[in-house]
Amino acid sequence: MKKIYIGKNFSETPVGRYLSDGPYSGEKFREEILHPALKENDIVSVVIDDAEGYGSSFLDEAFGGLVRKKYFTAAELEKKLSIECTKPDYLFYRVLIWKYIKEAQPA
Amino acid sequence: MNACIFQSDSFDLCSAFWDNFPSFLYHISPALVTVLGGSILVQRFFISHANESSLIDDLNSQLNSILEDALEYWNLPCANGDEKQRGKILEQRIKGAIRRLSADLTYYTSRYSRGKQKCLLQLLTNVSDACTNGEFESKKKPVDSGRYLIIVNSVNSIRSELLHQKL
Repeated sequence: MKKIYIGKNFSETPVGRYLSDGPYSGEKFREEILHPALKENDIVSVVIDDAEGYGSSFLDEAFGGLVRKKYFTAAELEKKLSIECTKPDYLFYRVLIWKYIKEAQPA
Repeated sequence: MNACIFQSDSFDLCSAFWDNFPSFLYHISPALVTVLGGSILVQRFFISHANESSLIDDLNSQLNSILEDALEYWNLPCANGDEKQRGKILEQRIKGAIRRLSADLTYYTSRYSRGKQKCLLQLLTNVSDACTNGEFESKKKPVDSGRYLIIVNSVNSIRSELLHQKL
């Protein structure tokens, strides 16, 4: 199992959706960290509460993008991916991530 | 002579009262404790209700400020440098305000309304989705006036839930 800390392994202040939006965008996180980790490991755990906060655009692109790009289906991600957060005020980000994964349609 | 008899009767009554005072206290103490305990409980209830009301008022004013910032942000064209800079400031303000709202709502539900935790979490999720999805933080963020209505509706849902708790 691989554990990814967004704050430690990517950025404490992730911003934006696309690569063109900045160096810490959702697309960059998905392509450089999340997708390779999911390919190489059976289970990947993403710790979300060590970053300062997220825009929904970042979360949608990083996690929902996995389904839109046809890397994985929502059912596969439910088995492979776990979203960890210990701070109760970060719980809504976890709800948002699963909402984006479940609502995403393969492009 | 009469005055002397009266004084003596009065003295006897007084003395009888003080002699029986411990027994009197013994008999009324359960009622006294009940009244005192009850009044403390009632006072605590009203203080707690007043604190809850002021926390709800504060949450409401946070929602108002999110609404104002979101209105300005999603109607800002971001074509020139000043507008882009203003857009960047609003992005940080909106994200920060949602984080603060989340922290305060978490405290509110844990302190006053554990039964509403799931419902309020879902409503907060809707607010965050409405305010910061789409082209939020995108370099080519377009004006998206339609999004404002989605934001207003999501904010109103959470506001009416909170007002329901207050009343």
